[in-house]
Amino acid sequence: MACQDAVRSGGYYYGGSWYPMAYHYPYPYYYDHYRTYVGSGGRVVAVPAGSYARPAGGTTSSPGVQRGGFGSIGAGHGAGE
Amino acid sequence: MRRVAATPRAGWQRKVEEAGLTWHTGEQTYWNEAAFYEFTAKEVDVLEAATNELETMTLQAAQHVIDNKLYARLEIPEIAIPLIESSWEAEPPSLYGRFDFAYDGTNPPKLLEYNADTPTSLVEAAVAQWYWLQDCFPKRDQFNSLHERLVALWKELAKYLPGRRLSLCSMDDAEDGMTVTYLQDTAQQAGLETSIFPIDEVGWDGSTFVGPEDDPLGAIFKLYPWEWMMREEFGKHVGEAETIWLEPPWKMILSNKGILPVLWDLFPRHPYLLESKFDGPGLMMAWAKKPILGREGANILLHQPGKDVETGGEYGEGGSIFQQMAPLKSFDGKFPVIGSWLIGHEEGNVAGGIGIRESDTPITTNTSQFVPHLFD
Repeated sequence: MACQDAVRSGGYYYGGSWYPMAYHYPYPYYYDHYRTYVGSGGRVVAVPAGSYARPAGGTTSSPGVQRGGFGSIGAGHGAGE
Repeated sequence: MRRVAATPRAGWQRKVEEAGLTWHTGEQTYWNEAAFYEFTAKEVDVLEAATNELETMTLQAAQHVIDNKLYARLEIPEIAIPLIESSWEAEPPSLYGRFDFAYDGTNPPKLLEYNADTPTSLVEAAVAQWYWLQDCFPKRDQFNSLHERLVALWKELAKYLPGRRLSLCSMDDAEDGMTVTYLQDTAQQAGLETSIFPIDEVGWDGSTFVGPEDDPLGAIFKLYPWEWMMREEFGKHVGEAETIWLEPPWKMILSNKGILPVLWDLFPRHPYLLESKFDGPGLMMAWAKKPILGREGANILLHQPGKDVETGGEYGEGGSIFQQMAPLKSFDGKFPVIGSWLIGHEEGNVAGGIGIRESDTPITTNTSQFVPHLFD
């Protein structure tokens, strides 16, 4: 879930800061790596996936202006070809 | 046409970064100057003529789609149709596109696909390979007037852009950001006032699109495909606002793989085309099945008798087209695809230069390598 959120949102929230990231692959790529890591004995400290999500109200705007209406399909990878 | 092994310049990473190619290495090296392609002037003439002729043909194909309302065949949603038709009639500014050719230096170039809406690999084609030529072979030539053409085109388009202002937006992605930053530079050199921001910062105030500072967007270049925009929340507002979008909505027709069978229907057996069909491979012995809305070589099935090769990806749903297998020639075990750029819309004079991406397999994907070129 955290992988999916991060790829969809283009980053993750940690320790009070938003870290924008460019992910070049769909989230299963990262999740598979996570599972491989864990499967080979790697240790992780799991916290709820929601704690990595971008906090609400992160973008400042005038009242009545909506944002984020473009870019959702392309989140996590480039749009050029 | 031949592939020549070469010794990379010392510190090539810094050199291409200084040329604007800040993303040159991914999981493997993307910019590859350990080789280059060498053409004759006659071969360059062939590529230039093919590009100019195909541009005219694709515009006729777009007119054919509109006249015959083939939108459902191309999986273009209803919401997009009035935008396409009004923008086609109004002839708003368009900037660029890239034909991808299979070419071996002997037979006519064959159109693999047309990236008409969101082409990238522009910085490397326009700038990085030009500086490579100046460093390594300053007395030789390159099929490349991309930068000059872009600056000249922005000057021509300035009168259509409200306040001579242009915003540019893309995903927050290294390669896409590099492309729009370069386009911003060319627009500024043409005297335009510009701003740049991620596409998810585009706002809607109830009557118009606004930028990050809530300023109305008069004209905006977006490196983001129309087929995605039409399916997203703000897609329904595009027709309500005065904002000029580059590329314009009618490019949705040409960036669609469905344009390939339309071209074949209009120009059967044309030397620059590969046979293409909507409904199945017919009598083709070897063919490529491509998703109508596919991107970057994803979800392509290459069929040869007794052998199928398929790429993965996220575009497997929806319809597909079938295209005759391109006769890609291997050069030193590599399969080059010629990206031939179109800048502007002056009939018979749109070809602006080429960039070459090569792969270990006949499918060019987002992991292919860019290799520079020259000609005599």
